[in-house]
Order: sequence, then structure tokens, then C-alpha cells
Amino acid sequence: MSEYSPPKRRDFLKTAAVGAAGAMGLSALKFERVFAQSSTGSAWVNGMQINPAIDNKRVVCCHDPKMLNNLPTSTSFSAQNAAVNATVVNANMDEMAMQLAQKATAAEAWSTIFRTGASKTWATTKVAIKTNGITPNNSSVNRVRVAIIKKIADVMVGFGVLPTNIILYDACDDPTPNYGTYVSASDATKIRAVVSARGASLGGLTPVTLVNWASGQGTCSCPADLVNGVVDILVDIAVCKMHDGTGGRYSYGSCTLCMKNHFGTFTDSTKSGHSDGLHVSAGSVSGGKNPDALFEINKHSAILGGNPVRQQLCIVDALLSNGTSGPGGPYDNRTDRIVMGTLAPMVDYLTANKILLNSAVMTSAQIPAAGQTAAATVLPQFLTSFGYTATDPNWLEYEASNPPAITAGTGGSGGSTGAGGSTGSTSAGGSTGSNSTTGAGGKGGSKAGGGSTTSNGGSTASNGGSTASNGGSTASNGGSTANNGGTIATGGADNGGTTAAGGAMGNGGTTFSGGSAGATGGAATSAPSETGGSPAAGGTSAESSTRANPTGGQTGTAETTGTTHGTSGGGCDIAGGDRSATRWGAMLAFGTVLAAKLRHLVSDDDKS
Amino acid sequence: MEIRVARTCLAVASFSLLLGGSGCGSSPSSGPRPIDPTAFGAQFKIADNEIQGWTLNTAADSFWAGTDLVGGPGIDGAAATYTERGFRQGMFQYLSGPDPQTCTIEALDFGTADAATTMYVYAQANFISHSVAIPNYGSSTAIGGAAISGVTAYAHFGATYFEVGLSGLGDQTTSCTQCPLAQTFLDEFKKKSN
Repeated sequence: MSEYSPPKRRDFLKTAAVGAAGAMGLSALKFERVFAQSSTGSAWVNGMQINPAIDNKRVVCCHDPKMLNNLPTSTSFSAQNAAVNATVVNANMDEMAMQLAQKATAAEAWSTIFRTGASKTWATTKVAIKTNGITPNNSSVNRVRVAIIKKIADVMVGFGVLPTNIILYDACDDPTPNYGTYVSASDATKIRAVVSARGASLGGLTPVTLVNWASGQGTCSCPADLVNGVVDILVDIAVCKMHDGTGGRYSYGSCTLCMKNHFGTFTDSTKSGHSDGLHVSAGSVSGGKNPDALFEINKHSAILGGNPVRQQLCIVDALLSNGTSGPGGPYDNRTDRIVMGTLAPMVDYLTANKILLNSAVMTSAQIPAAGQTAAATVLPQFLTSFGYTATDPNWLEYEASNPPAITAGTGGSGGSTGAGGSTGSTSAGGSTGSNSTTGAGGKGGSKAGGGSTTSNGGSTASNGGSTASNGGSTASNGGSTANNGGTIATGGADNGGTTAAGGAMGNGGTTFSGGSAGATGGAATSAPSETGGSPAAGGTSAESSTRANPTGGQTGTAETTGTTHGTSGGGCDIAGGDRSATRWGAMLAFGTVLAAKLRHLVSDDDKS
Repeated sequence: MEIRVARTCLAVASFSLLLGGSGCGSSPSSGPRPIDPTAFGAQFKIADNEIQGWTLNTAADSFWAGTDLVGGPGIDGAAATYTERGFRQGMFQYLSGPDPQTCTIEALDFGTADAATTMYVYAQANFISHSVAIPNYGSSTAIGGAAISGVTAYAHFGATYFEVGLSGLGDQTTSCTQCPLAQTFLDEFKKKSN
């Protein structure tokens, strides 16, 4: 099919980089908290993070009408897929991963989102992707489009996961009639995976006990590889549909999204296509127990157990959505969106509220009034059941043509005040700053005590390119300038500052004017971890300014820092100085030393 | 005594025959039709080109007749909406028409005309965002739900409730170009219901 173009060289390089980055990330895993991993029961604990580097509450939504070339010519599954522009979907999902993980590159982002066990290599990692395979082949049901599943499979293969270890499944039914022709373990133009008829490729179905499974509704079961922890990574991909629950009472929150999708993970092993024990719930045909069953299965260790947590990404395909036509009907809205997050109830709550219940988005058909009323009662439980409140969700929706800048997280704190150098001595600059967490450069070395007589240039500045120097000036956040000898230091970025102009011109102390042109400092990309202003060597013979460590944050408001300090002492202090500045500084420092010695000699001579 | 009994039986039998021959509804007898999905499916199945240009889709699962609404036509979690209103047995068909048009059909036996009407009223209130008229039918019998993906016609004849979903001619919310075709399908089902 035309929408699947062979990978280009650039794509290959990108995915190779993803794999490398992912492998590098392994070492950090062994320090992660181990969560409950019992084979039955809940693995969820309120406050638990699915991914330590990604806020559970963050949900990203990309809107892009270009993801569909046109409305499908019919409601058949093949027509739905033929309408998708897979290239655009592919690019948008990369950007979404970057927005979700707050990483500057897709490679970094995907390797942050997906993690495998500490004892695993990617080649031994097993991945399960949940889709909805129920309903007859190629009929009019709105279901997850192939391009979205293919993207996830491609990312996994890029890591080094074997296509035969990527399982596309629906334990409730056999997805083969709908997805079989789009899947191949060897054909890179297709979803590189294996389709599992129910639990066939996931170790079969094994009985599990659920409090909210209605008695007399068959045997509640789950794919054994999920229960036993053989599956390392679970990706939940749902399509955006409303759902009238048991008897039409909207007991699932009027929607069927990522959480409801797992009604196809916990299923009656005695009868294909059935999860009646969950749909009916606890023997009550009134559906009064729902949505409890929904919450129970989505806290279950089969889903949220493992270390790292098994279910690592939840996606809603909202290219086409159902507002009125129910879970089994054809799409009735073109919504041109994809939603992505790490925690299913958060993804569902926001998708339901921001898309399904939003008449500005669902312009063609809306959830009936009874469904909207029920949603107002049930949807908040999506949050409260997982320990969240209505103020917690963080919805980031953007136009694909204008994605927001990747905002850095909190930077590390900068170095502390450094002791100024006394005459001729070496002063300590700012201390080591703390590690930053999610990208922004840390606040630079705060303040270095001024050396009384001579100075050297700024010392090595680390995070955000901050500089602590002697000569005593304020080092600004994220790469700024400090200088000695009382120079005017402009620039200095801020947290994570980009391009901080170094100390411009430093008037030296008594002996001579120092300073030279400052260089660009603090150029920053995101910095997961860096130290703050490191010690600035003070004293008489320290090296001149050195280059600021360009690992600060990415953006920042430029600020003028570098107060004038010190009245004596020469040399230049160039925050973030470049190599030429360093040479100048070194020469000047050398000159300072020489001058001091000469003065000393003269003085001695005078004494004599 | 025996003659009196025989006369009574004859009278009952005659009355039953009279009712059965009235031609009202889908049940020749006064009670619900027997549970026989095969017979039900055969009664309502649209044969290839019975409606010109429309044939059974070549995909697997394109025809189903049974009592298991969840796993059969794949109504899945929404099945209780029908079963709680009296669904007993049904037929599903997936047809292909002039490319790229498709049609999904659900003919569902609710046992009584009242139950089928109840289901229809529920559908009318809950399944439709843009209602459109189906030519030659009043809204108490049939109605269309137009969507950007096509139109679904809802109808009830006697104890049988129908959903006919048509797609392939684009957005039907501004102009229901498939409504006449929906009428053609409903006409067939009305005939088959008698």
C-alpha cells in the first residue's frame, strides 16, 4: 500500500541512535524503585510513577489534519488505513514522544519512554501491543489505524527488539482477520510483529482472580506472559470512541479508551469474543459495579507490574472518533488527533473531556445527553480511583505545525559561594552544584568571593555554563559571567541559558586592564545531569577563563549579570570564553604574575 | 362430552388459523417465534444481487446468525443495550456494493412488536446525532442517522428491529444521498418481515 514507504537512510540512522541511547540508559535502571510484582492483584500504589522521567499527569495531544489525506472512502478497515498519511503520522509521533518525555530528539525521547528490564537486552525483550481485534473482518468498526501500530513496532525494532518478540494481540478475539495482512516479521513496510490469536503467542491464557469479575460468566483469564512477567513492555493503543455501558447506562464513563481496551486483556477463556464478566460486572446486570472493574484491571500487576513498569505507553488513535455511534459503530467524527501518555486513567480522563465531550472538536456527532450526564459522574473517578484530583491532569495539545518548545525541567542548583582568593592565593570558586533532573541547566555558581589582588579568568563553569570566578561577581544562572577585576559582564543566560555573552571587557586591577572579548557561553542543550559552578581557581596564577560547559538548559531569558566587583586584580574573566579568549586570558594572567613579581622585586629593592 | 370438546378444539384451531393468516407482523402465531437462528438468518439474509450491485463481502465473518450478540456480530460491550431490551436472536451481514460502498446489516428478533418498538425508540434517542428521514417511512417506523462516514437506518417491523449502515458516498450530514438506498434495503426487510 502506498502509505508505507520503505525506511530511508535517515530513518535508519535515527532508529539506530534510538537503540544506542536505549542501551546506554540501561545502567540507570538498576537503581529504580521496585514496585509490587505479585502475579495477581493490584500493582498500583497511589503516587507511583510509571516512568520516573515522565510525569504521569502529562498527556500530549497532537492535532494535524494532514494525518489523513482525506476522509476514508468508506468505513471499511482497509479504507480507513488507505486514508492515513503514514509519513505524517510517523513524524508526529516522534514529536509527541519528545513532548511527552521533554527531550530534544526523538531518539532520546523514545529511549526515555521505553525501558526494558535490567537483566534484559533489547534482543531478549518481549513487547505486547494491545489493539482491538474484535468484530468481523473489515467491517465498519472504527479501529486503531495500522500506521500508529507500525510506528511503535518500528521504534522497538530500532532498539533491537526482534520482530518475533513484538506481539500484537487481543486476548478476547483474534485480530488476524483485520490486521493479519498488515503485519509481517520480515517486511519492513508492514508492522514488524506477530499477531496473536487471543493468548496464543503470549503463553496462552491463564486464570486470574478479579474481585469485579461477575460470577457465572466463564473463566476470567489473562495472557500468561503478562501475568508471569515474560512481557517486558506493554503498549496500550485504543481508538477514540464513546461507549454506552451495560444496558446503555454509560457506566464506563461514556467512553472506551485505553482502560476499557483491557477488557480485551482480561477475558473469558472459555468463549472467544467475550469479557462478559467485566461488562456485566460482579453479577449485576444493572452494571452498578462498573466502573470498578475498569479500575481493578488497570491496576493489576499484569498491566502495571514489573520493573520497569510493564505498561509504558498509552495511545489513543483519535484520527477518527465515535461520538454517537457507539463502540461497534463506524466513525462519525474526523478529529485528526493522536493522544499519548504514560498512565491510562489520565490519558482516558483527558481524552474523554478534551475530545469526546468537546463539541468544538466533535463537530459532527456528539455523545447523547444521557452519556454526557453520566460522564460528569464517572469520569472524575478515573482520577480519584488512582489518587488524583481534578487539578492534576496536564493536557498539552498543540498543532503539529507549531509544537511548543521543549521546556526544561528544574535545573540543578548552582555552586555555592566560593571563597575569594586572597592576594596571590588560589581561591575556591563556587562549589559543585547539584544535578539537574530533567534538562534545564542548573543555576550557576552563585557567587565567588573576589580575590583581592589578582585574578584569573573564570574557571570552568559547568551546568548551564555558569561561571564562578574569583574577583567576585555574581554568576548568573545557567552560564553567565563572572569576572574579576571588575569587569562588565554581560550576558549570562539564565537557567540553562543559551548564548550567554561572556564578560565583555574586564578592567583589570591596578596593574593593567585585563579582559578580552567574551565569548559565547552557556550554549545549552538539555542537560539531564550536570554539576553547578565548579570551583573557580583563584589566586595569582590560575588559568584564565575557560569554556563554559555547554550543557545547560535550552532556553532562558538573557539577563545581565556580572556585577562589577573588585577593584584590584587584573586579568580577565570570561564566562564561557572560547579558546581564543582563553589564550588571551592566559597571556594576561601571565602578565599579571610577571607584573606582581616585578613589583615585588621593586618593593624589595626599595626596602633595601 | 367428546363432541363438545371436539367442537371447542375446532373453534380454537380455527381462531388460530384466522390470526395466523392475518398477515400482521412477522409471527404467524400469537407468541414469539421459536429460537432458531438459522431459520431467522435465512429469512432475512440479503442474497447476492437481491439488491442490484450488492453482494456478500468476501471477508470471513461476513454473515452470522445466532443468539450470542457479543461474539457474533461483534457488538461486544454494547450488547447489553440490546439484550436488556429483549433481544433473542439475530442476523448480521456485511455487504459490498458498487465500489467503494459498503453495508452492514443487523436484523434482531425481540420477540414482540412492543419490545422491538422499545429498542427502536431507544436507538432513535441515543444512536442518532443528525436524524434524516428515510423516504416513504414515518419516523415512528424508520429513521436515518447521518454521519460524515455514511448513514445508518434504524427501523422496526413487527418483532424485528433493524440497523442498516451504509458508507462509501461520503458525508451524509449535509445531504443524505444514501437515504434512497437505505429505503431500498428497508423495503426488502419489510417484505421479509411479512
